[in-house]
Amino acid sequence: MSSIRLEKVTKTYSNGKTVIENLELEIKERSFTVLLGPSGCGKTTALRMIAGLEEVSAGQIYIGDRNVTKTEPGDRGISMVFQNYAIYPHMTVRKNIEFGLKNMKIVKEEIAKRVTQVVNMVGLKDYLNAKPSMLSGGQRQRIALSRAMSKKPQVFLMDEPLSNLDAKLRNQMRGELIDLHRELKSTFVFVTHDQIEAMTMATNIVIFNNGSIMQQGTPKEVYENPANLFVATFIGDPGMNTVELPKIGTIGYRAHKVKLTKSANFHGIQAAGMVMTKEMLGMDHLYRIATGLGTVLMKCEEELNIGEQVTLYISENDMYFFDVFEKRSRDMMLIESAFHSLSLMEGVTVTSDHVIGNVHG
Amino acid sequence: MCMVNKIIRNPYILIAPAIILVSVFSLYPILFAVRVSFMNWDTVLGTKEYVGFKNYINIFKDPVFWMVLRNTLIFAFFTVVIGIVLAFVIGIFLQKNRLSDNLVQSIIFTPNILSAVSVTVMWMWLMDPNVGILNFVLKWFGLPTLKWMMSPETSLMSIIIVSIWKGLGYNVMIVIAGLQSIPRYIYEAAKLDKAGRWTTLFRITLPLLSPTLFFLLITSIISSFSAFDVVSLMTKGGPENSSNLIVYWIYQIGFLQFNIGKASAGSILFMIMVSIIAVINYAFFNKKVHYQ
Repeated sequence: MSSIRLEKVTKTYSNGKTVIENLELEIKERSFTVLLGPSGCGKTTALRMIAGLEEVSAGQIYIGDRNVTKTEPGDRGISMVFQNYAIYPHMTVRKNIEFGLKNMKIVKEEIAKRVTQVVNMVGLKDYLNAKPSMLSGGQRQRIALSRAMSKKPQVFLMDEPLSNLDAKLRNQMRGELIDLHRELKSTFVFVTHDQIEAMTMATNIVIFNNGSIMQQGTPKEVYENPANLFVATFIGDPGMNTVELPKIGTIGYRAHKVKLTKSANFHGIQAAGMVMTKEMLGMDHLYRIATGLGTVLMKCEEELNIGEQVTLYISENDMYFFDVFEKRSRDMMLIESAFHSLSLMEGVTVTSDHVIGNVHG
Repeated sequence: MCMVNKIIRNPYILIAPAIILVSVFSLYPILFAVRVSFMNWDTVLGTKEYVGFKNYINIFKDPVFWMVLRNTLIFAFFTVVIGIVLAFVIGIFLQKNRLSDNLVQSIIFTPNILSAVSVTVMWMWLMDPNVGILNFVLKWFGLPTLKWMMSPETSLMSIIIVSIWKGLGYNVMIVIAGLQSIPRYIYEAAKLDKAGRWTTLFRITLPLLSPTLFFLLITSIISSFSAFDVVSLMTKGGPENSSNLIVYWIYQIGFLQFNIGKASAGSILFMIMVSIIAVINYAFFNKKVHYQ
């Protein structure tokens, strides 16, 4: 049993600042759950409370059926991997791994067995007697990982473990963590501010902002069905384009859904604009285009020049609607008035007597 | 311009200022002392003549030298060991940056910025056999009173106490700085590794503090071997040389008995002794120190 449940958890620091209030969170057993959000959103605090490194001001935390709110970190059946590895600099790789096992009073033979097992898994077996200072950043993070694994915990907590690695190594470690999760069959809770990490590794994403949960779901769900404007603009690379319509709400659409040609049966909006900037992304290009809708981000394969005049087509099917409270809306009245207000914008044409039933979602 | 550059790039010119200073203020005096140590030079009569190793032989035959040597070793051992252990213990308790910690830190550090004279005079009052507060306290607890620096049995102990007290604040500061440089996440990792208080202290804190403690060890040994002010102010080495230390003894021979030759020989022996201790220290402890 290794599900995690936070019930009405509140964290107030001694300076009186409340970073998390009445947080309700359920992390499924054996899931790879990523807590995602901008810095200062409370995701790390939530993780540290699960670990027991941060006291809970109010509320309860359960791991499995056990209430661990007041349990010592070492007795919670968890392992944690820190952003800066937190390996013991004065101990060899072997000693680093053994330290926790010895404290757990595990017998010698079992310790030796586990050490061999975990260093083989992360490819450190040739470095057992090396000091961490002799090893690279990636290898140090592997020490931290193998130390965490050696305890055979039900729950792995990871606090931005990849952010100190270079881009290439980070990609590689992402793959390794996915494999590891599949092999170990335990619950992974992973904190990051990098949505690419979240999208690639997670089975479940929990999106945080200002100490509360904005949305929880699979990567596909949060990408395709954002529950609110924050998630829509935070998830995706880049986040959604938005057009704010005063007193009505906001319209959002993805950069790669902006087209240069009109498809057959096109229903949607058409906007004239001029290319302002161009970023080469490999296969795609990312353009910033000035239009009556504001600055539009467009991602496509076509080659355009800066200063070029273009007409953009955004299908109604690719649009998302949010009300004035930034919540996702499928209200027909709202959609209708949104289109009406769009049609009044300069250089923008609504090219349909739009069929509302087609709206995405 | 090119010419100036060429001169500036010459490494010997770059190190010349340091070399000149070291030569004038360290190297020359040492060589001069070596030369004088082979002379019988009376600064009052103004006579000097080469006497070979006579000064050294005289020193080895002098029972006072052996007593002073013994005193110096005892003094150094206790001030260094107690000074560091006490600083470590106090540092552990004061490492959190609470207001009370900062207050106590400042109070403990104060003796360090006071002049040795006022510190010593204050302690002489405290240790006064008749009106001192220490004896008053001992009496109050029903314990026998001591004569402190007035008696050959307790004079060395008295200067050891004062020296430890005066140096403690500095040691505590260094220990706290070392403790605070140990990252918090290491302790958090230890907590998750189920390490108890004592395990954390001995397996995490102590090894990570070892470079700091090694630094303190070296500086404390050097300062305890060269202790002069406390002896000079409190006991003048007495009674009966019971609290005389080697530097003060050298001073007595050179500047009170005006026997510069013998004093120089004593200085050279002292230098050799300190060098040997430094080498032993380094060889013994360097392997036990974990530099990050």
